[in-house]
Amino acid sequence: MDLLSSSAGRLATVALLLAVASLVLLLARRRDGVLRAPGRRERVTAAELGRALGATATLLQVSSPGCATCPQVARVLGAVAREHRGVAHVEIDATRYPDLVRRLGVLRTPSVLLLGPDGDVRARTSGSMDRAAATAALDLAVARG
Amino acid sequence: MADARQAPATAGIDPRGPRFGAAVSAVLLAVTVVLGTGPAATALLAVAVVLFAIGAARGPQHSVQGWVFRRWVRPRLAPPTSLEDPAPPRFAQTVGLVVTLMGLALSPLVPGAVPVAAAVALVAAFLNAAFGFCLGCEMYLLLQRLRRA
Repeated sequence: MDLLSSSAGRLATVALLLAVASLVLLLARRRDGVLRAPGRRERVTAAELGRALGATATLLQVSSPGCATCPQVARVLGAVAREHRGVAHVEIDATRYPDLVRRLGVLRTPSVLLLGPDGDVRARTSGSMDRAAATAALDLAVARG
Repeated sequence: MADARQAPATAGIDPRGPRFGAAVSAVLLAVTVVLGTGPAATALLAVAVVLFAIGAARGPQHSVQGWVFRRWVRPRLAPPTSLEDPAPPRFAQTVGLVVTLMGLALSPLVPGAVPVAAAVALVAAFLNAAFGFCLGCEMYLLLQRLRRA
């Protein structure tokens, strides 16, 4: 191709390629932290987790080894949970709860499931989550009652 | 975490190290692509192969870029807020090695293999450096999930 036979042409092609790749990534990342309603009724019990649920709500974070953003999300959710009465932050390692993870259909880490007081899944997000998104999710879930 | 693993079993690394390494790789690979075919481009691709090979063998923290990062860049930065497992970025170096090595191996038969291989590796290195998206790391985690299923 003539475009690729000159260095200027190659430079332009590279720039275009990187722009397209960046656009694809940014579009894909827009889903991160976005609240989704659960597809079907799901419930997670305290017994399954081996941890107590929050009296008002639980921020259940599914993490995994090698997940680079998980510690940061854990920090955010921990802080949000501390600021709200009756809200617990529970973080589990996906590799240690394979049946639960499979049942809940968790494919990415970090994934955050918002549980009601009885452990019913009210909403879920995947990917990175910031404080604003976490607080908004909590307010929404608590409001739904 | 409930299972008390804030840092991975091996020592965690500063996550900015692999990103810096990716930026260096991206510059090298971009120049390679722009040079097109010919001895200069092939030589630069060979340099990329060597850098990836060291990173794959010893991990990103002990690659050439990792050494530069530790010595000159990191002292100028605030301490990292969290550490990451070096296994996924190390696998990413292996992926980079495979891609660039294939380009180098095919180049006597297909001269265009050099800029194409460099371009493929460049996209991954660029996304890592610019957005912190490590394609090789995602492949590693996906493989782990599939292996467990």
